[in-house]
Amino acid sequence: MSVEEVSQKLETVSVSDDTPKTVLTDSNNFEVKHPLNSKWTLWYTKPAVDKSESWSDLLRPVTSFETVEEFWAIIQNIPEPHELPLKSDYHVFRGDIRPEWEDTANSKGGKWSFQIRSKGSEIDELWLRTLLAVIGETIDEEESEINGVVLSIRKGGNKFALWTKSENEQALRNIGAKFKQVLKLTEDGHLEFYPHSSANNRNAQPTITL
Amino acid sequence: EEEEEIDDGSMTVSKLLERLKEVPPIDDIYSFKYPEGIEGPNPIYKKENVKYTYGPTFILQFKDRFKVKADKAWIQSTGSKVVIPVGMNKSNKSSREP
Repeated sequence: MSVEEVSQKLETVSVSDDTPKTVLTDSNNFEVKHPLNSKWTLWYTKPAVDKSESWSDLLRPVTSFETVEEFWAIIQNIPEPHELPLKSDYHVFRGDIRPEWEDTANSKGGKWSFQIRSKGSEIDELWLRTLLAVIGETIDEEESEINGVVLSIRKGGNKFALWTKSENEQALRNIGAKFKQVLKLTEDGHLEFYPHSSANNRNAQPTITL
Repeated sequence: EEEEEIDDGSMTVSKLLERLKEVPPIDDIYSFKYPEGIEGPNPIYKKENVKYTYGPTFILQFKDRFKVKADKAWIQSTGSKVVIPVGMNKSNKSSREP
């Protein structure tokens, strides 16, 4: 065997010996991907510019993703929350669940809701923390309860809402406690749970407060 | 607007989506060996019936190591769906920012 052949052989050996490359070491030539446990869909609500626009004109799916790699590619290339206009929302929902309480996957559930005064980069960070906890499945229960998460950009304060598929109180309390940590809430910050069944009632009171 | 897109070899969203179709998923992320300097997924987040769970620290490592550029085709098909009506942008900026 010539010297060349030997070194070639060694090269192939050392390559095949390595664990496959991920995007963390090679963005272009990675060999494996990091799947998420679910497919997720990013939705966007555009603020209305004239009264003829209906809810269905404003709420649109943007794209779906099912790997950690796709998640970052999207996040890096869409506006950050601080760049969004008032009356817009980002929604990230599991699979094909629509971010509407009428969707059968949502209708028996509700949402943990929190209105926050933070703006600018703080809101960007909290939204990212929320997304990581949701898509990484670390905020959810063993039997998945979380259907999606919504960020609403509003004048009186931005709103975070974590949508659940049921009103199972113990599961909701566990999720709510973790959600408070994700949002870095202290003792005086209260999360409120509203069942979707009261979504049409303007005077609805939260059924659980944490 | 009509500028030619220059391929400087960096990863674009469209290229990434193509590549992701070709490569297999990691089967067990908790036993996968990451090179030095990368922290593998923390097993405290393991669940019995949920195969893929990732702690925030793990996913956050991608943020600076993995950069993907939006290309024209992706912006047209997808990125442009996040519409910011003219004159409405940045109304939510923090007053502390310049």
